[in-house]
Order: sequence, then C-alpha cells, then structure tokens
Amino acid sequence: MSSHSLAGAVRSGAGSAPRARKAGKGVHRSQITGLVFATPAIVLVAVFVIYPIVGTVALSLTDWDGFSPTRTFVGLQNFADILADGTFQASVVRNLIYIGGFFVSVVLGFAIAVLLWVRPRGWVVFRTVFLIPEMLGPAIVGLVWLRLWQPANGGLAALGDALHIPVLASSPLASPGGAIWVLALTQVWASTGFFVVVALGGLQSLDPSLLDAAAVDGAGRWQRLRYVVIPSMRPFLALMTMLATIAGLKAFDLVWVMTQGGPGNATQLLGTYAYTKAFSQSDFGHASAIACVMVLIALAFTLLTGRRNVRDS
Amino acid sequence: MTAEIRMPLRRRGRPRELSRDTIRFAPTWLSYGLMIVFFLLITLPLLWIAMTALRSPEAYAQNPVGGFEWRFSNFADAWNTANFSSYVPNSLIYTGSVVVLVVAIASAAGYGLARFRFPGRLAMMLSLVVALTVPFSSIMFSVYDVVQFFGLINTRAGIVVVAVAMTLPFATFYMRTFFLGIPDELAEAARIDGAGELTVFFRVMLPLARPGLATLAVFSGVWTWGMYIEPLLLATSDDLRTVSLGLSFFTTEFGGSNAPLICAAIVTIVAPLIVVSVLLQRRFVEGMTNGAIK
Repeated sequence: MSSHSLAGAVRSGAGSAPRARKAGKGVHRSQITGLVFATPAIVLVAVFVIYPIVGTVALSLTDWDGFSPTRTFVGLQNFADILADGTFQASVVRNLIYIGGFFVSVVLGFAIAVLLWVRPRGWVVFRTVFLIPEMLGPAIVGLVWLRLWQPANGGLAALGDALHIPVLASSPLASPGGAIWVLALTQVWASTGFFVVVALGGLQSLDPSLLDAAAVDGAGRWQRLRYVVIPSMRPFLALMTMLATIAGLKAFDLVWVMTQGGPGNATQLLGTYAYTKAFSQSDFGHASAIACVMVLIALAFTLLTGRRNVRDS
Repeated sequence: MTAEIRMPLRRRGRPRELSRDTIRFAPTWLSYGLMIVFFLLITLPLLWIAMTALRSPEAYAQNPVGGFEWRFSNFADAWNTANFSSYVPNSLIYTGSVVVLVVAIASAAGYGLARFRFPGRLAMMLSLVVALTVPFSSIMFSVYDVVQFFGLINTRAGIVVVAVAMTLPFATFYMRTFFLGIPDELAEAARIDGAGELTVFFRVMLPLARPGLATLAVFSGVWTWGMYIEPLLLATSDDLRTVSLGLSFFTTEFGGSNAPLICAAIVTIVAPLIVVSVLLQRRFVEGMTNGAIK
C-alpha cells in the first residue's frame, strides 16, 4: 500500500466533526441503516487487519518455527532478545535514514510545488512526468534502478568508469556501507513527485492576496516565502512529514526487490528484517516482536496526529 | 529589494497581475532550468532502460552506457521466457476485482459513517484509523494465519480479499468525506417523498458521488496493480503472481546474465503504465488535492 493512503483520510477526520453531529437530526431515518451500510467494510477490516494486530502481539509472546503445531509461550523474552540484537538496532537506525530519504522528498516536493505555483507554460507536462514513479509503484521503481545500480554490469557503474566518478564506479549498492544510501536516494526519486502534487494542493488553498499584502508592505521573495507561505502551509507540511514517516516505516517493496536486505544484513529495515527472521530463519517469535515494535510506532503516530487534528478543528 | 517594492506600486489597481507576480519565487529561467533538471532525472533512467532493451547482450557487456541497436527480438524473448501471459491477466483480475469490491464496500460504509449515528460508530471509526496506519509488513504473519484459516492460501480470492481489506480504511474515509460534502436535504426530500433507505442511497446519493467513485477507482487500481508484498506472502505458485512480483522473480533469475532481456521485460510492463498514467493523471491529481484539502 502506498504512502498516500493517509492524505485524504487524516484530513477528513479533522474537518468533518461538526457536520457529523448534524447527521443525527434526520426525520424518518432508522439509525440502524447506517450500521448495515458500514458492516461489510468493518467486518473485512476487523478480520484481516485489526485481528492480525492482536494475533501479532500473541505470536510475539511465543517461540514458533512456522511449522510445528505447538507454539511455546515465552513471555517477553523475544522483546528482550531483539532489543539486544545488534542487527535490530542497526535496522532501526537504517529505517531512520530511509525515513530521511522521504523527508528529502518532502522538502524537494515542496520546493518544486512553489516553483510550479505560477503555472509556467508547460507545467502540466512536468507534473505528469514527476508522477510517473508514483504510478509505477515501489516494486517496479526498484527493478528499474536495480538495472542502473547493478554491481556487475549496471549502467551507473559503467558511467562512473567512463566519466571517472569513483563513487558510481565502485558499485555502492554492493557495499555494506553504501547500499542503504543508494536505497534512500532511489526512494527520493520514487516519492518526490507525490509530494509535489500534495504540496500543490496545499498551495491552491492559500489565498494569494496575503502575498499581495506582504508585497505591498515591501516583502521580497524570500520574505514572502519565509513569513507568509511557510507559516500558512504549516498544517500541510506537518501532514506531509507524517505521511513520509509512516511511509518510511512501511517501506518494504523497493528495498526487497533491490537488495532483499543485503549485502549481509546491510539494508535490513524493520519490515524486511521481520520478513527475513520469519521466512529465512523460521523464527516467527522474534519476527513478530519486531512487527509489534512497528505496530507500536504506527499507533503512537496515529495518536499524535489524532491529537493534532482535534486541536486544529 | 527595490525592484520588489516598486513593482506593486506600478501595478496598483491590477490585483490579479499582482498575485501572479507575488507567487513567483524564482526568475522564469531558473524555474525552467530546475524543472528541466528534474524532468531529465526522471526520464533519463527510463530512457536508458528503453535503449538497453533494444541491444544485444554482447554489445551491452562491452559497453553498458553507449551504443544503439534495434533488436526487437528481445521483447519477444522476454515475453516468452517470463510468464507474462499469466502475470498480466493475474494483475488485471486482481485490479478489476479489488476496484469493484473496494468502490462498492467503501461507498456503502462511507455513506453509513457520514450520515447515520448508531451504536459502535465511534469504535468503527477508531479501528479504521488504526488500520490506516498499520504497515502490512508488521501484521503479515498473522494475516497469513487468518488467510490459512479460511483455506485461501495460494488462491486468487485470498490475495484479493487481503488487498481489499488493506485498501478499505483509506477508501472508506475518502468516500465518507465525499458524502459529507453532499447536502443532506436531498436525501431528506427523497425520504419525504416516500423513498426507502436503499433507494435514497442508490438513486440519490451514489449518482451525486460519481466523481469520488471514479477517483477512488483510479487510486485503488493503481495501488493494486503495483501490489507486491501481498502476493509474495500469500501465493507461492508462479501462476498467481502479479506483474511486479513476476518481474522481480524474472530479474533474479536472469539478472546477471542478460541485462537487455530484463530491460525488455521492464519496458513491456512500464510502457503501458506510463500511457495509462498520462491518461489518468488528472483524475489522480484531483483525488490527491481534494482528499488532502477537505
């Protein structure tokens, strides 16, 4: 699931509270109808998303290889183990670097949106092209860039040789130190266009007469940007940052098609490390403990943004 | 600075012109320069893939970046070697089923949550919010258990139902927002005329929500088409793989030995996607901006 699944929903939770209260006033209306309409969606989400959250917590308290019928209860041992596991700690750090890649996308996306705001001739062409990576999806983007970064005979290694750029020629995707940065950079390529469009949507809601007023008062370009545009866009920047963080936490497809967490464990993020623990090492207990940490972070974020939405409205 | 101060004075009385100038944050040449740089950063890698797709493996091995040929046989080879004749229909089946189910279920739920108050409504909204942020990779082991419980491992139905459930939280909120924007008086008028709740929904509300349904269909379609981890987890059989997943397995198999073949496979998948994305981009952009503002 892509990162943007949050864009609408987070906002919709915020703006609609007063109107929802009005919804109860209808005449000739059976309120049970609403329950009937909502039931199919709720049942599916409860069975395939909410229950698995509980199931993951339960699994994290056991020692299970994925095959045997018995799941031994081990209490919080799995959590103690992963917290002491160097690869897990490094995965947390790498996941933060990866989220950093998304943040770069947010900043770049916002900057490009500001430049596209005046709708220069041909801007729709640019917007369309910037959205291509989003349309391809993270797995296909990963496969495209894998061709370019391929250590043995990839395009960028050859280009680095030809132009004498040592960083490219040394195939950083194959080096334990460089690979995570290559992935983060690829993610910037993949997600910047999405943030351009989100930021453009935000800028459209900004009243340009504010900027006119500032200009009449003598504010230059930089001052208008610094003191008018950025402060009025703060809710949008917060939303984009939140989307970036959650998307970085969810990251799997792009990393998995490019490195499967390798070389060694050098590009394991939380999601890929959990997957590796479970399916390569048949260690579902520790895998679920890592998964629980991810769920906890996601829930903490839901709470934080939920509170901000309440404050906004 | 002086230029900026003088400019508004000179244009006094023409506020529209002023706005266009005050939202210009870089000289035109600089804006275009940066846009063209970003444009090339997006397109050059894709063009390199397309160029490589037309070369022979031998020529590629000698020089991966230079050289040009017209070897169209790579495409036929890629199509015949990779199991595309099963991946493409699979992705079409998954995408079609998920779009239809998500649009149907989410519009009903969005309407129910927007327009009615009933016991458990808050709990439902809360679980949808939680479901919205939880990464699939963090619940996948337990999802596997549930799918196995229903006997749906290694079936198309299993993949579709999980994809639907993962898309529903966003889809429901999106449709709820849309229904909140439609005046309730229309539904009231229909009720006073004696329409039942189903009639109100199908004959009054759904037609009014058509633009929202279209945008939601595009979103869920794009996501489902790109779906990777769900079929990776839930299907071991090659016959059930999606285009992304199949392409990734194909790459792993032939990646080292025959780069042009892989690139031909990538072009086969990416070229139609780019055409579709150009056609759908307006709907996509509208959905993103509307969803984010409301």
